[in-house]
Amino acid sequence: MPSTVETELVEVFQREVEELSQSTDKYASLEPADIDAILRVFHLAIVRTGDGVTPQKLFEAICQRQ
Amino acid sequence: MRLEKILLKSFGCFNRRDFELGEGINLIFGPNFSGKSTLVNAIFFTLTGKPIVPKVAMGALTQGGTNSGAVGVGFCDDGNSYQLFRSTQGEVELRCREGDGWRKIFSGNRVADEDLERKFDFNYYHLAAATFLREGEIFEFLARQPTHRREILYQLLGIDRLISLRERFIEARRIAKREENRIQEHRRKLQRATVKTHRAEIERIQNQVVELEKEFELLSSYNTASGDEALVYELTEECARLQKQMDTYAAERASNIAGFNDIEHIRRTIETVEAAISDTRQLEKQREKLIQEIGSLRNQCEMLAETCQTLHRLLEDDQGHCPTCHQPVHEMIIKELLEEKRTEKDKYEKRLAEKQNQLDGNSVNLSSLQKLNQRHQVLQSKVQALERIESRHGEIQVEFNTVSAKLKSLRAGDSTGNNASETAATRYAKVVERRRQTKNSIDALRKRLAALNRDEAVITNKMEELERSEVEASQALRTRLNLELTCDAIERTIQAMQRQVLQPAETELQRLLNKMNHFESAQIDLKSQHLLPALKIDGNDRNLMLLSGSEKVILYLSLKIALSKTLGNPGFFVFDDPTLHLDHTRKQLMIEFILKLSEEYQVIVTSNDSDVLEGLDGAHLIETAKVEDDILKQTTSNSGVTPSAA
Repeated sequence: MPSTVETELVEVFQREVEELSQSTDKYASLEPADIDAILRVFHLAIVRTGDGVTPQKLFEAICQRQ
Repeated sequence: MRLEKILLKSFGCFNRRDFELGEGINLIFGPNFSGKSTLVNAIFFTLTGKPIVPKVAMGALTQGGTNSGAVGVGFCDDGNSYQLFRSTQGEVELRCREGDGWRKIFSGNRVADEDLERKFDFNYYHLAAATFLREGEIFEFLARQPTHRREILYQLLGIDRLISLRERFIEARRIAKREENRIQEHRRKLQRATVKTHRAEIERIQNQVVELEKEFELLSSYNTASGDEALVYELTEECARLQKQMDTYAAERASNIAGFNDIEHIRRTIETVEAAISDTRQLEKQREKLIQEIGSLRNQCEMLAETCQTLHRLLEDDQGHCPTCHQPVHEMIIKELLEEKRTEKDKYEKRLAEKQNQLDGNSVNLSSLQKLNQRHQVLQSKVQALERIESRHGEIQVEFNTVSAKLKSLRAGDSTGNNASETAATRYAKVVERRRQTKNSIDALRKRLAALNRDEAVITNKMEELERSEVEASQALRTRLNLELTCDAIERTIQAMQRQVLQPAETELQRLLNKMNHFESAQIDLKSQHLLPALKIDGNDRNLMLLSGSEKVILYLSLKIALSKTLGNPGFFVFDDPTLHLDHTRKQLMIEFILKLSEEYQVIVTSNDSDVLEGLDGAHLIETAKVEDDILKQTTSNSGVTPSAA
């Protein structure tokens, strides 16, 4: 994936996460640390989109970053 | 980025050729089979590692008769000059100009493609969709299935990766949900376990214990307040205890003495048994003597029997002389001798029978010796036990007499008399009994309290665990929400990416077409059919397959330019024969289009059309000859293709 597309994906994703977290009631309880964790894990996952990025690893990464 | 040079070795129809490229427009001009498309393929293959025509094997790119070929592209990016080489066997090498020479940046296999992609954005899908136009591509694209076009769109926008990632995040969300349910279930169990607390009961029992302890203290003080009563009570108790012991010993004595009059009787019996044992031992000696005698008599009997036999044979043989010493013998003498020996033998046999009878009688007597010994041991142990019992009984009797005397004197000294003393002792006994009961109650309650406290400790632990579990549940909920938010955001990113790229591309396409006075009133929708422009002219849908060949070319090329403006362009376009199927007017339009494009980008165009040659007059011209001619004119240029890549 070209780095420009990668960067754009991350930027769009960040925008969507922020928008959703502010506009959706069920995400109102999430803290900035949660949003930060989501963005970091997504970035890592999109950079290393190999088979090694398993659902279990994503789950653990979110848990750890909290 | 500007392309500067194409270098080929054993690639397509070329053995070894270098082609210099200029700024602006580069026109690769030549007849059919002169290698124009090969040059386009060479650039594409060098940058992406894949042939421009899908599903073509690497081996097909090499020159006929060779196992491998190599191509290179010289280009300028951010003021630096680079040379990128690639062999058909997958080796890649990137060099950068330093002074007069070239410095190798990296070389290796296809892993290097990721570095290239990051460094220069050489992405297969971007270049194929928005930079290169290959021969026959337009009709292939129009005929493609919507799902195929959607795949291309998703690959262009990186959405394919987003979709793959979304699936994994959805699975991660399932894991989080399962974890959350597990924690909730654990919490419910803990809540059930902590509902029944023993605190009230513990408090109640503690109060009871305090009350009983007070009562016990009160009962204990009664002991100190009335010393004589306590002493009488204790002595009475001691008397009772000693009496009980004496009764026990009496019972034991009776049991031991059963069958006898007294201990002396047992002792006498023992003496009798001992005497019997002594007699039996004498018999043993006699028996041994008898055995010896019987042995001797048997020998004599056997000898006499042999003698009688010999004499009998002498009589039967009737030879008149001894067979051993040959002395003459007389029959009468032999007969007398034989009779004498027979008499003697009978006498010995009679004695032997007598001794044998004696021995048998002895053996019967000896078998009772073991029984006598056992009897002796039993009687001995009885005597010992009785002696011990008598001795202990005597001691206890003395003690009992002493205590009884003391008790008697105490009762005698009491002014209220024996009856009053006994009443006090009875009262005191009741107090002691009550105290004992109170103590037992306290002990039982303390035991119950300890058990309840243990249970309560377990409940307290569970409550602490419940508190921890609540924290875990809160974290699990946050994790699940985080993952749900991620999934939702990815879904929206997919939509946003399409909007973000396709809407500007639609606008740009509209602008380009308007500029060329084409489809002026058309509304273009790229999203509904996944990149395939949906045209609505004057409110009516226009089927693309019914467009003329030139309209298709212009629309498709404009789409490519529009996409490149939105997705980003490396700085050049490569069009393989873009004027194919166009009439003279449309060719002029296309030439103008290319000339306009070249103001902003480097454009490489292949054609065999003289109108294009004429229209692009002033462009950097690369002329290719037919393959047969070219092979004859092979240059020996060795500057480009690296040995390793080749």
